[in-house]
Amino acid sequence: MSEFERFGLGTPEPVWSSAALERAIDRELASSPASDLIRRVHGLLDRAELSRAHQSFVLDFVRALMLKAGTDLGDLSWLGAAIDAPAQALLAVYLLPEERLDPDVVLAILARLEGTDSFEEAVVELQDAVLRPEAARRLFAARPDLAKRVRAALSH
Amino acid sequence: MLDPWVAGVRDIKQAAALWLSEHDRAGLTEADDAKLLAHVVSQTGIDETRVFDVLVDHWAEVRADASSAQHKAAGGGAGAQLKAAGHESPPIAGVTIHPIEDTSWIDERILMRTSATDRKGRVYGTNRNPNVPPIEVFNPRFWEVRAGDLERLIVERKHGRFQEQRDALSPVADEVLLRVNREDPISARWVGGGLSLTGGHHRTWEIMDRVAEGKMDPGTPVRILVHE
Repeated sequence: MSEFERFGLGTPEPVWSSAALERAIDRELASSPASDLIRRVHGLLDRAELSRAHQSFVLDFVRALMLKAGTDLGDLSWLGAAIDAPAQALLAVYLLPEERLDPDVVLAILARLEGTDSFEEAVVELQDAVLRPEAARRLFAARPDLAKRVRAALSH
Repeated sequence: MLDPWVAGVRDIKQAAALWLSEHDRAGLTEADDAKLLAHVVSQTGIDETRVFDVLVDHWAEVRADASSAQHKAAGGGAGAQLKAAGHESPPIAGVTIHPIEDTSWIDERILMRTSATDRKGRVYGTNRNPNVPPIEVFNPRFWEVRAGDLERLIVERKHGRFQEQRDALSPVADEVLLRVNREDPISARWVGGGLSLTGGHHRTWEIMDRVAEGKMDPGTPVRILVHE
């Protein structure tokens, strides 16, 4: 069982401690690149709905990882195309570099987070990408209802 | 043509100082902001997508400098400085607030516990906003509370209890459990009506257990690093 499996990420209420999370990241980074670690955590989040604990875990994980590995986290091109669960979408919000946030990826992320407590936060986090003309056009063309919610979130 | 007040700006800190003073004096319009930002980009070469973040960081720094100058001129202590920065009196009975004179031990990992955001509303420490929040934004102080009050004071936690950590703390002596661990202090944010715990979850559970089991005096003082 990997260190991260013990946190119960696929359950409604994952449990961890900051010390255990840091240890787990250190051990994984000692033997594999950050992108592999992200892929493993992403895989463990594939059944996860987005409880408050999941929201906290994803942010804690990203912050701890970036403090240790920096902003260059390797090739994350797969991440934008692998958003099946809301927790995976939130992971993409925090991790994907700006150049990976093309209109289709932005649309996939926001559609997956629609109806969750993290939707408004995701819109705010992705505002630079969402407000690009091509992304806004794509959003309005594909999901005018979602585009209205995005606009409402940005005006708050 | 740039307004003279914008044209005089040569570096990011100067821009932050100007921005701060103009905001305090009369408020800036979005057009003013845009003018200033465009000028800062041209003068400093800082990427436009980052300039807001950098400006906000320096803004906090400038504000802290100004606050410090006022503080020195007024001859006030740390308590006066906290008051000048708009800090609350203890919002509930039984809590004593202690200012932190030396914040140099508060490292990046602790600063990342903040819920504060940058000017665009983005949290710190992600690829959207990879900056570490300035100490002025984090705004740390110690709250001393009674161990017996922890249960009612803590209204939010980030996660549930991790058995491995629970087992590790069980044999730890009271003095060690209660000592402020500068690498990983018990920390929280005041969320109105209670504390939202951001660090030291298992230590607070262990303290609460010991009080409930009669192994620890409920009046035992516990220090919590409270921040924004």
